[in-house]
Amino acid sequence: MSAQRSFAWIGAKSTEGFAAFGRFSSFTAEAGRAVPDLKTWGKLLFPLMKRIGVDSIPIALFLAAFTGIVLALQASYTFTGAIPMYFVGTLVGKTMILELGPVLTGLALSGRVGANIAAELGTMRVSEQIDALETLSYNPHSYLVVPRVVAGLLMFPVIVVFANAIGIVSGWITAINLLEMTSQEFIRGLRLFFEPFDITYSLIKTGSFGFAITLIGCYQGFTTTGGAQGVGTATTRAVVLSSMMILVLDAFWAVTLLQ
Amino acid sequence: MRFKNEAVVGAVVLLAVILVLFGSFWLAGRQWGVQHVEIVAAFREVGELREGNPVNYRGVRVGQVTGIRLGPMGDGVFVTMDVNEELDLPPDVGVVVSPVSLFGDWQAQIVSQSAPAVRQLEFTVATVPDVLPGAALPDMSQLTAVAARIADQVEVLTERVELAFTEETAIKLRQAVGDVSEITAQISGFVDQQTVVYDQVSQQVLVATGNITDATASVTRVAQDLEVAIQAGDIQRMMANVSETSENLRILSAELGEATAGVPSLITRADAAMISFSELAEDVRQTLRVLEPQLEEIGPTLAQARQAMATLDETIERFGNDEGTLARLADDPALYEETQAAIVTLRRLMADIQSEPGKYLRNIRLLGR
Repeated sequence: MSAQRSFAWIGAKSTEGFAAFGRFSSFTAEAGRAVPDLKTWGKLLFPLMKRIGVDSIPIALFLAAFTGIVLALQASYTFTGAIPMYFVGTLVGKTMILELGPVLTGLALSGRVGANIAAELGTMRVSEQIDALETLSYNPHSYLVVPRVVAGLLMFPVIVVFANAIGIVSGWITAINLLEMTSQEFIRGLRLFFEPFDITYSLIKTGSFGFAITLIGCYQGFTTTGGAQGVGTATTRAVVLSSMMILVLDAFWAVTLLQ
Repeated sequence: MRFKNEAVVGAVVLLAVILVLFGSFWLAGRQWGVQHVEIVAAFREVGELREGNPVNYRGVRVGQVTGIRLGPMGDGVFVTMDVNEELDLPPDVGVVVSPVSLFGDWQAQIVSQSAPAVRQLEFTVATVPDVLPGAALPDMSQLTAVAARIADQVEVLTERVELAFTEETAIKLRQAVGDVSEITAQISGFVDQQTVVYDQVSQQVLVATGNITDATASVTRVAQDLEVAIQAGDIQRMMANVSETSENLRILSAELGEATAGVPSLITRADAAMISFSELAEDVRQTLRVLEPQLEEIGPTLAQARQAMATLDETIERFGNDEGTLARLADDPALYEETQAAIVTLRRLMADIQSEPGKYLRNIRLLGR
């Protein structure tokens, strides 16, 4: 009897998972269909780009600056011995550009942007503003989803560019002032294994993070039920799913582009 | 408000684009305002060389690796590099890829294939035109692995030496060291001696060199004199004189030959005469040896005879002075004649005795006959 119940639980969860995936796929398809409606979402794009992108730059730079400092110090702590100190520059540069810049910024923005979008759209959903748009024959995806996703897709790489630069500069300053390295040593290490594709990889990955975070935030907001508590739940779920999706995409791009 | 948002977003995006472009350019080590040309080199393999690695010439960065691809047959690697347009490549240019450190960073070096440091490398020459020959140095990690294996073997060897190095070994080793020290001292003394000898030889060589220099100068002078003589015709005259002298010598030699033809027989006869003289001398010696006793005997006789002659002379003198009986007898012509005859006879007797004493002495033989 318990086995039957277990199978039923597994079946129910699987069905629920497939249903959620189906709803998410349907939601994504609806958003895709709204993309050609540039006239509707285009005028909303720049305010959202500023709110999602420009306004998120301070927190991203703050994170990147301290990340660069920690990277330089931990590298010098690890490299005591046979490894030359100019590899501190290599580690700071490579790590910031390839991994920590995009991922930490993505995680930070999943909390700020993803949660913000989920809460905003969730509130609109529970206050039936979205329903009103549908009633007035407006496509809520064109008004609410597409401009946010496009803004995230475009502005996340911009944020990460600044984050990477600040992270490297802070690591550089740390190396000079705290590790008794010279600028020439740090730059030598920074340039040692640099390849232009590193930046391309970083921007591709960050764009996917922006797309995922905004799309998940929009989906969670659109599917919010149950009033204020539902908004909170949707917000939390958006942050958690966005963070998980960031790590999944991080691994995906590493496997896809770095092999 | 809308335009303000657009301006802010546009500025941020523009700044990000500039930052990406500038950062990529700077991190790649590109130089601003420097034109680049593309060169391609062929290699058998390129180790850990990657795109973006520096290209150096005489230790100065002049470009970077921009592409690495396998050759069409898969038997080589073509590496594309961007280098400064102003770079003047050497005539026998080649490219060597090598590790910079133990940590996987590589570089491409533009070199002259005749440079001593790379002369022993085997450069890969592509059949494709405008492709430079290239060679790759072994990865340092491989060298490190070899060094590690050597270190392990040295460790094993050290352990075995430690086992084999007993107290007896130490004593023998100490003795050997003492022997070596002694030999070294001997060698040192020998070397000192040889050094002295060498110094002497050197000085002699110096003196000889001086002499040779003087001789050379003399030869030079003689040569100059000879040259002058040749020019003056003296040599021709000397040669004529020498020729004439040679002819005279030849004639003299012929005459001497003839003259000396009888010399051997003369020498033979001289030898025979000398032999005869030798035999004669031996006979004389024997005769004298035999005559010695007789001479001892004839001595008193001769003395007596000499005394008799003296007495006779005295008598004759007296006789000449008409003293004595005999002188007085001389006045008698007859008696004188007789006495004169007796004297003649006596002289003959004395001469006969002197010429043939054998008649008057026993066993006397003259000259062994």
